[in-house]
Amino acid sequence: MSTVIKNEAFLAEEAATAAVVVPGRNRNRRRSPYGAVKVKETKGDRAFVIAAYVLLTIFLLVVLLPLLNIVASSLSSPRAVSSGQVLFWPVDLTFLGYQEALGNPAILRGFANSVFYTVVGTLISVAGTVAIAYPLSRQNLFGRKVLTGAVVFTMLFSGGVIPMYLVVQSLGLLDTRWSMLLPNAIGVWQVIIAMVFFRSSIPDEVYEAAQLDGASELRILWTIVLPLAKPLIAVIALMYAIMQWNSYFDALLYLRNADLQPLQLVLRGLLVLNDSGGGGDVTEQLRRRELADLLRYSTVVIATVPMLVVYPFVAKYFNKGIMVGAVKG
Amino acid sequence: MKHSTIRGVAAVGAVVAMTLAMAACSPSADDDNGKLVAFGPQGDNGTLKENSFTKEVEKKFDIDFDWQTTTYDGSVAGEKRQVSLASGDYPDAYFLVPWVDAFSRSEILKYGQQGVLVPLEDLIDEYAPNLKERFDEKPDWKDSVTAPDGHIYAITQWSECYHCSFPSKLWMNTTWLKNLGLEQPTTTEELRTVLRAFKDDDPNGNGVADEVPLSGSATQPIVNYLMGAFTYAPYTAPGTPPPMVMEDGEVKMAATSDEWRAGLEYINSLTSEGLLDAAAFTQNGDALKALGDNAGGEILGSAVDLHPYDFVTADSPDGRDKNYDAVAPLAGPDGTQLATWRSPVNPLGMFALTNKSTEDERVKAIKLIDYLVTDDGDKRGAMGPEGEAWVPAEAGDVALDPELEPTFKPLTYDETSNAAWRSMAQYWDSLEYRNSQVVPEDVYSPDGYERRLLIATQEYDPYQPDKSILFPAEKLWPDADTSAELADLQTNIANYVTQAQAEFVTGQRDINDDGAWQAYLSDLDGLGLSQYLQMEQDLYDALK
Amino acid sequence: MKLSAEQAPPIEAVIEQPRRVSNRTRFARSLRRYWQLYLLLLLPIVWFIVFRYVPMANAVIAFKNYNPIDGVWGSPWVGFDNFERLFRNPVFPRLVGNTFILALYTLIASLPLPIILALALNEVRLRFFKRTVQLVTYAPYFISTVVIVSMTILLLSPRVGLLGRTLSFFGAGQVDLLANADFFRHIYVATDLWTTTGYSAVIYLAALASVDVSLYEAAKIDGASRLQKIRHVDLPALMPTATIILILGVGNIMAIGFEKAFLLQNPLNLSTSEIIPTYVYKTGILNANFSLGATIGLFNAVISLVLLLVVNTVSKRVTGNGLW
Repeated sequence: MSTVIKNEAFLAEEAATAAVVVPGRNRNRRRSPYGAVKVKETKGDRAFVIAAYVLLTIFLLVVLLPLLNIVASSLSSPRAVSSGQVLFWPVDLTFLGYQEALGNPAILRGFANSVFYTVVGTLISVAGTVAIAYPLSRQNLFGRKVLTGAVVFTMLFSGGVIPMYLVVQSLGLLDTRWSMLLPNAIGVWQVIIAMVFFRSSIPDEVYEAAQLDGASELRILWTIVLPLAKPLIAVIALMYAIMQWNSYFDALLYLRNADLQPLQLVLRGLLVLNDSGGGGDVTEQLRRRELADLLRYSTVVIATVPMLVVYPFVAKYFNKGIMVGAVKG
Repeated sequence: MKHSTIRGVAAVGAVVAMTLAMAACSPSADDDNGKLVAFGPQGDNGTLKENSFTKEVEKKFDIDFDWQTTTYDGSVAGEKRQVSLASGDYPDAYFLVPWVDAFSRSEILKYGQQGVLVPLEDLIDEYAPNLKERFDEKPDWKDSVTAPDGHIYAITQWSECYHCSFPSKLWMNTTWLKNLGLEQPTTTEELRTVLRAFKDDDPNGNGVADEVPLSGSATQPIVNYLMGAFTYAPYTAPGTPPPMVMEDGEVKMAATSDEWRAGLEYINSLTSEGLLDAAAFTQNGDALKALGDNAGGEILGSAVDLHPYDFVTADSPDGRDKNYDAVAPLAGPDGTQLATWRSPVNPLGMFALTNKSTEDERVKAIKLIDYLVTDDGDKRGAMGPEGEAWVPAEAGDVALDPELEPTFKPLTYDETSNAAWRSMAQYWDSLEYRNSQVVPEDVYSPDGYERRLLIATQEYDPYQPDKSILFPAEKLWPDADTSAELADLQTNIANYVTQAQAEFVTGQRDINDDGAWQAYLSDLDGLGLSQYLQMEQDLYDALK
Repeated sequence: MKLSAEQAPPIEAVIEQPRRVSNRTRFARSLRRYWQLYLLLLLPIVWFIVFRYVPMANAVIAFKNYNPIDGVWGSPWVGFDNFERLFRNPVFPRLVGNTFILALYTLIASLPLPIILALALNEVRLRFFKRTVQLVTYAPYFISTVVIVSMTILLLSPRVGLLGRTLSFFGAGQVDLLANADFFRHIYVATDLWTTTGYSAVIYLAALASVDVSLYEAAKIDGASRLQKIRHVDLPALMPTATIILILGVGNIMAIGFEKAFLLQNPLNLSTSEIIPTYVYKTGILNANFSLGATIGLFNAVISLVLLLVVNTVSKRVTGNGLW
């Protein structure tokens, strides 16, 4: 298959070409001698594409309209919202909800903390996931099945909140940033998805070729497998980032110092304080309720927007087009 | 061989980790260098540490607080508190807020008997003279915090919110009554007439039959108000027992009596005629408010709720929030006329000291509580500094209860100020204290709202049930051996009663069908009703 | 191979005999060859032990009458009392049924849509449209359950909700879907689909992105229509992922959350909306019992394990894909 080849880039290309992803109808890789061949679209196919567009438009509207309602409500007066006047466009435009939320210094601090936890946490999580999923995806690794079983078992059976708290406490991680990054660093879902991806996307020929050339396991991982696994890494990085961004329960449990609090915790506290009405005299309760009505939607928007901004950067890794460049063919 | 070494290392590592975990379980002696570790909820308006009242108190009582805080989010705050207790990592003292999360009676008893919470009665005797006095003024308060073994393990906040004591009020659109030439109904049949008129005679004058005569939301049980015309309906909410009453010292289930059935029949008749909005059992507060605030004109005739700003926005542009007035409880066919009454006794515990606190810290904490029940401490701690959060009453000011001498006037609530502990410090919210605050006399303005509620409540006062029929659920102490089983029984029975009630009233089950009613009764038996009543009876008897 | 004494070969002449390879040897060989991978595994494994297996040991509190002073190991042992109480509870069968049905329905309903979405996105060319649809459909995932539920209830409220207003616009009578116990499950699943479809599609998009482009070309050359291409190239590409997600979903089935069901509950749908977590919450208000929570956790774990093994085995037989 391969003779002595020094250039690793060439090696990678060969390997990538050899990567047959799935047992498809055409196992024999027919490479057109003239490059990509343009075949005329049939009428049936055109209709199909139109159907796809229609379907996607339906998906889009079904999701978009309620979202528009939320955004519109966040910019409308509480009375307009409660009287049902707000549909998809603000009524009685007011920025008070955003002023309330963003004017709070705790919010900025929470935002900075969340960014830190998300970035660092994702790095740790992705590294940890690959570190366990890749070895376990190799067929010849002894103990693979037992270890995989042990990993999956932890998904079924968790100790619960209190035992976890005890562990975090005994490690001295309470009230530190590590308590946000470590206890849920590796997710079994992500590990399994990564394992499946490694197993199905990288055929044995690649490994054989690389080993015959004397490449070490870590070298194979670093120079061949990881570049091929960009979509996977993008996906699990996104999943971890979202998990970190959305989390607040761990923060509530393990953190005491308000300076370390992530955004979600701050937002929730802000909202609930006002929503419950709470004690005090009725007038005070009412004023707080009014604030709560404003805040309910604006906090949702504030919490969601950063994740929306991040998405396009990650999405390019699992949208076709970029991949064509990485795979020769 | 290498693999056995690896196995060995792993085993040792696991044992080490587990030992660490075990070690964490046993609470260590007080090692917080003289700081009073206190647990309580913290808002977003600044930290408790920076709070100016905290600083004042620290100076006054020589305390150095170390705060363990949660947010005001009730469900998670509760978990944090319980986890901190479970892990042995708990504070010296708790300053909790009742509507966020506080110690339940079973917790108070459990932790008190385990020694986690320390008895307070001796400390109170020696260092809290004001609190002692207050206890004498309100014996119910002292009774409710004293456990069966005679100890006081936790102190609850005393709040006598007058209008809250009659939580199920019917608020009716007075303008519509005037438009139709009607008076407020006084009997169940008069209500039917009025609701029919609301529905058919177009009181909002727009030519469309869009009026909703009577509605409510899932969180404000309509049944309580209407049932009062047939038999007494105790206040129920998630987590409270199913409706029970006392009859000659015997605990009885209110929801199985013939009078209760008659009440359900009446309510069902309203629903089937379209007079009572069936959605009242499923819609949330937002949906009810949408009815009240309806953009196209007033469509809500009446609603059962604690207060009208729940279902209509204050200061509405067309002034509709001023239209709703309370209707006194209705008289039933046999003359029964009762209002659901809610006891001011709060069963939860907000202040407690743990065995991790030193004697010195305990004395200081008790003195702090003592300060909070004085007029000065209460105002400063719960509201804020004079001049910022409140001012003394001036000549010509009228107190909420006009018969009382006005004492103070609250100023506009500033949510950014971090000068008071607010709900965390409200240990003495007595009737006299609340009713002596100055409130504007215009009852229909948002500022005069308290007065509006007071006047409405005064209409309900005469129909307070006789104390002898009230089942004092909030005063009972659970028995540690039976509390788990009791919790199961109570949840099952309360769930079923709520569900069946809604089904009967909306017609999903036929209340007029004897077979259906019998099935309901036997279902309750199957869920252990007699056993449950017996257990509650035992707990009640233990009070004497 | 046994040789008789007379034929015993001299020690010097070592003949290579086919021997049963022992596990020790296989492990040694594997270690020698893949020692770098084992090294890589080490840290994550330690993490699993510390943060997953050690807490499990503490979960023995399901069998104890736990109190904080004695801690986990000092609390009195009550053996199977907790389990007994649970099984004796007359509503327990219905709770289990409700939980299971709700979770299963959610799982099965949430399988096809993300796949369809991913496939459809794969077919269209317009970059801007594609990106927009992806971004928008993925956004609902971040909206808190509280907001989603309150909006749903408002939407479905008779008369004032969007549904109600549409019905009265067309002169039709009002219908209260929230009051219908059967509908609770449909509403629950629908909100779940709305929230997670876009997010779940991401995984499938990634799988599709890894399909070798030459396969598509080959299909084109063969004259395959788009539908055929999907059937023979795309779907097989997604099969491993979809199967795994199904298996993992089944494994997680009893771990259904408490919040959404609790918020959607009302007196008229309790017969279907009362599930195990909401019930535990309600009894927990009355009687804070750590042991009960742990007991339920154990119960759930056992069920999940059994289901997982069953589904995994079936899947391996049918599609060749499995967790291990």
